[in-house]
Amino acid sequence: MITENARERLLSPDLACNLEVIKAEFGNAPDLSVRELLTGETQPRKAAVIFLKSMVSVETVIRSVVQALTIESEDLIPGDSGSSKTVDLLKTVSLRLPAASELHLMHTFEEVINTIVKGDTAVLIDGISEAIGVEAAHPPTRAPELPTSESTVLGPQVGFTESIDTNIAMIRTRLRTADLAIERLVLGRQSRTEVRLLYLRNIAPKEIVDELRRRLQNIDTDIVLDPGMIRDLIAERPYSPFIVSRLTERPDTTAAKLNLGSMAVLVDSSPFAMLLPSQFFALIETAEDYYMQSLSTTALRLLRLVAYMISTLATPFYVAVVNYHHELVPLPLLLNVAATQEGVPLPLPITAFFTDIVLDIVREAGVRLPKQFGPAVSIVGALVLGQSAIQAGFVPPGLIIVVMFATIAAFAVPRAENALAYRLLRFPFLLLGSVLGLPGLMLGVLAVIYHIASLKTLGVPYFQMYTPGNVPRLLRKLLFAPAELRPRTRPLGHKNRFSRGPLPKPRDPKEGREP
Amino acid sequence: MSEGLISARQLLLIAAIVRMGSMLIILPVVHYGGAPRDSWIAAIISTVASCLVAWLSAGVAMAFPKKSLGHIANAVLGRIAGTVATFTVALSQYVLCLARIRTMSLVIITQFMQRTPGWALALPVLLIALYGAVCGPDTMGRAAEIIFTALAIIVVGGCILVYASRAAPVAGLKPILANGLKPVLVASISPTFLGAVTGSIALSFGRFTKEPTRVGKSIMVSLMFTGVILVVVTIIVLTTLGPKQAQESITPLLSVAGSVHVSTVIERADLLLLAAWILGVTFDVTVLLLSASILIGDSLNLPYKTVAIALFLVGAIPVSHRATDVFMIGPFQSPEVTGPWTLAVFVGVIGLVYVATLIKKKGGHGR
Repeated sequence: MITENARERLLSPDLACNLEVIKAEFGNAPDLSVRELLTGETQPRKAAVIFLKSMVSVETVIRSVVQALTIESEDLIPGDSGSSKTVDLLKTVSLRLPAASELHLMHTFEEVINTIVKGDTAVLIDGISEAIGVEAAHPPTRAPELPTSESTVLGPQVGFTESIDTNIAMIRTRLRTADLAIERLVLGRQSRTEVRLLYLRNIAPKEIVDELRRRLQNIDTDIVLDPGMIRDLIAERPYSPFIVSRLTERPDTTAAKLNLGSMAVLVDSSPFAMLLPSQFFALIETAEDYYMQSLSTTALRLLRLVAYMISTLATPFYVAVVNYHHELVPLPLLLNVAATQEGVPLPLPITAFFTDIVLDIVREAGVRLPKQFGPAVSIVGALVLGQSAIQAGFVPPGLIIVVMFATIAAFAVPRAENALAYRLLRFPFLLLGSVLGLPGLMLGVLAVIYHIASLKTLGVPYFQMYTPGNVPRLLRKLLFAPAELRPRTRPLGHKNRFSRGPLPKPRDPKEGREP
Repeated sequence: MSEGLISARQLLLIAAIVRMGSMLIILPVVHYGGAPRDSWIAAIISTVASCLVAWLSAGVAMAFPKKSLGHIANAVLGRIAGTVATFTVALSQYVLCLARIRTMSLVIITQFMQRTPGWALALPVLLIALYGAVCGPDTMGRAAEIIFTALAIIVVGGCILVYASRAAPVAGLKPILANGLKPVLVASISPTFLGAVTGSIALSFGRFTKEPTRVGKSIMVSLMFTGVILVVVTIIVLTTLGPKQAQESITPLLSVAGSVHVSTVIERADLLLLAAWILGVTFDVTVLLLSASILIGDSLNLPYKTVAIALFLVGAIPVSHRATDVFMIGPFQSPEVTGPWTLAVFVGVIGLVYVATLIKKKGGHGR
């Protein structure tokens, strides 16, 4: 292992010396391949091709790089100084490379090492204190598949993969415009992860793009494996349970959001894109909404909003009403509830707390177990355990119904990470409902409203309702109106504000007149 | 992007919630003056009077854009007199903030949760008010958008529900102004005071408004809007409960809602109205705490967040102590208290600053 200072050292003209340093740096890694060969036949010169076998297509390297190195001495193009000792290596090799591979010239050991770990190939030639990096990375990846976390019935059935280039290609096929800006960043001291920042140059607000770029560039961490890790590093309020930057594995969603002025961050080796800035009402959106008939979408969105509220407030509300506000409940129902409370050993709030915890454990076990066991655990946990708890008199049936209902409602929430955030809020709400009844719940709701209202992503408020021009957009979020009633403007785009022109008027083809 | 600023529309919503939160449930217009049947006239008079008094605050705020009373009073009255004037207004808002917390906890523990100690409600309310105040005016502006929507839905829905399900119309009402104009004018004093308090938030929030020239319009529209609601609610309460019962009830609107039974679904609709009221009053309390903090902070050159924390610590004792004499709902909102208070603080002090502002402006213009 060499020191940081040694890494910054310039390459030597002595090939053997260079190879020794590079091999030492990799600690004789078994997948490090150093192919030494002679370039040219008349005046052979030693050269070396270095790459990681696990990261490249060996066939490509041999076909393109090794063949390109069969350079005769007379083929070497002199450098700028015109001296016979200097050679424009990049020009010499690039002219001989048949494939359209990206090339770059390297001068230090650090550059060579970074090129090799990235999966590219480094070429060193004896007598020349420069090296060439040739793009040849071919890391293991999979073919695009169904987006498992955002599956839909309608619309495209393809999700991102772990290959960043494939993911960019999927977005490009949906946004065939030269205004699609793709900026490259490398994050992670150890991981050297390829990260791409995408936005539409003619739509995204410049100041927000600049701010995101600044935050990304200032990330100083060892490892970046997923946009989720970046999200925590650039968040303004990382302790907030609310997700202010959305993750998606759908290229169609990403393209649609880019078109509205958002930015996307892609990370190599992750099938997720992070969309920023994200706002509160995106919680009730799914990709499918845009492919469905507007009335159905409206019904579903309102249903999701109700599901959010139920998943968070149903159990605390039940506890508050049964403990403090019997007068809210119709008498026959109250008598039923009172009867089921008989013989339960623990107070209702504590029983509710433990029931919620048990259900969360069952749910988590169902998610973590292999597919073959997951459903079995859910059935045993939810049905058998619940039934037994009621029969044993541990839990009142009314509470089980409410808790189960709240749990199922959480599954109706479009994105799992949001559902979890809301489910976490149940516990403080349960405490408030248990101690202070309905007034306590209202105070909790107000605290959440303050918190949501205080959140911002990249300076854009997470929640806004009545900002000028926002009312029709808000109505669109809640009530997905027919296309002609939807706003044409983009929420973030200060420039190029209109996302579409007027709709074509329907015309009766037989009469050639408007009906 | 505008860091920490609110729009004129958000200021309007904040002011509207502050006034609705303080008035609708307690309905002071019905309690005082001795002529409850004419209280709807008092509601109209108080709305007009509120607009006149509040205009002083809005005028001062608009005369010095991006400045609060803390800055303005120091500039036009001098350091010492300016600080006294600012503290008078700020302490008025702060005392009202504490009084409303006590009022709310008293209403809840006397009418709904008798076994709950008052401090158990008052301290969380003050804590949430502190959280909101520390979040800042822009957060309050955005929160107002949600809360106003919720309150508007509940108030409008509640009015329709009550109107649709109310008992037979009350007969035998005496003619309008049978006892002369004096009882009506007396009844309008307390709501005018509440309107003046609402207007005074322009002196602090005006500094954070993106469109300073529209501060006055926002405050006036909010006062007129809430005035209309006050008139409608007063009429509903009077015709549903009758003047006598309305006057005797501590919380007339809750009494009206309590008379509504949504058959076999909800036994008492007043609890739902109470929930909305808690939202409104806690927001109102937050705005007052924040406003007082901004005024004191600007006057002493301190961050308002630090002042808010200090005010929270100081206020924790009076809001949670068992003493009930100081902030009892009746005496505290009576015309004998609110009348002189309005004249001294919201007409006298702010009027003085207003006049000084005009003189300063005119003098500066002349030079």
